Amino acid sequence: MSRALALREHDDTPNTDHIVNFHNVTWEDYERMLEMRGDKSVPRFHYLEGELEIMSPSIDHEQITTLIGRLLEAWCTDRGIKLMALRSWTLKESKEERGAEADECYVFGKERRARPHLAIEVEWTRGILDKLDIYKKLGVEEVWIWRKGVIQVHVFAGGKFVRAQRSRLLPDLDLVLLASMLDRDTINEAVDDFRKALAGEQ
Amino acid sequence: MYDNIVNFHDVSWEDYEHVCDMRGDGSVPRIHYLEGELEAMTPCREHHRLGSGIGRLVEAWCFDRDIDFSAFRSWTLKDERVMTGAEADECYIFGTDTRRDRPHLAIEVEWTEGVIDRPQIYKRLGVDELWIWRKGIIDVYPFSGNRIFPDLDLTLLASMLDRNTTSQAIRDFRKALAER
Repeated sequence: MSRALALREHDDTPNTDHIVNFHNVTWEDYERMLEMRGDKSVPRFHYLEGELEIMSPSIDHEQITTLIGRLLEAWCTDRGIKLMALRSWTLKESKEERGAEADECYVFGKERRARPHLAIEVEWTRGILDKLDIYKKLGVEEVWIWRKGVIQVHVFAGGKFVRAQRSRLLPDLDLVLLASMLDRDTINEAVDDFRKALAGEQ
Repeated sequence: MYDNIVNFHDVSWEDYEHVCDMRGDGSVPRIHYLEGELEAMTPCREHHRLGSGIGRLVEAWCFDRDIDFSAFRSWTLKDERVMTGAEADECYIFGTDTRRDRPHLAIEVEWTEGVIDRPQIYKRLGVDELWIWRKGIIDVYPFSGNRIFPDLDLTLLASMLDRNTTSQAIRDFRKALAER
């Protein structure tokens, strides 16, 4: 394509996340921005020692998030594992200058906690902040990061997150199989296919 | 390549000013505000290239005609009475009297579609004329009725933006104008 043509026909409504950063942001500024955003779930904020990253997710990003959540919930429901989804619950710790809003958060069991056991981040478009560096001081036990079709598991151990093959919270869950269901067009199809595949494995 | 744009809704004037302060003297993200809607944008490389390319071509055209101009880049224009604020890609004042508090001309590149109505913003701010580059075409909004430079062929100018360098665009623009 010639450059002139590219200028005329380029995609001006791209299906990507939009990420805007502010630098040298004080904790007070970060909190004021959160208030300004209000109760809405977008844009989502991550904060790490003065760096503020604000993200509006694309449709693909939201779809992947929803499917991972529904599949995880179906898997737990079938096994009688109690859980509660807390969406993009704002987790912040002023002393540590860290704050995060994951794509999904989960607490397992019936106990009410100040922090979720699990945070799920979908990295459809790469930002500049190191998410694991943020979560390591927020009291989350496990972080799953979806990136290019793969769900990476990071478990908290010895003050930092370590990459693991399987989830420590749900060791029997096959996350490779789960991730392979994310190309389905609907939630129903993804959940049905996941259940069928799991039944076939046994 | 695309611009990154995030929007906030129901934002007060005080919060808008706070976001501008928080951004500080840096030129990004650029902030636009219209009656509670706030848009923060970090332009991509192509957006920058087009914005300064259009600016340099106008400047070359003015030089050749002895028209005085002053460039103000993304000067922050705000007016609380009309709840409006903007930071264009380029702003210009023409003539030797530069003491105005509004530019004559603002140039916006819409590389990635936003939700805020740009013409509405600049009209409210009292800018005389707005140019918006969109998909290879420059649209002119002469708010005061008459175009500032009726002789300037913006179709020709816009067609120079596919050149490999800004200097080549200026050379070709001058050549095309001379051949007329």
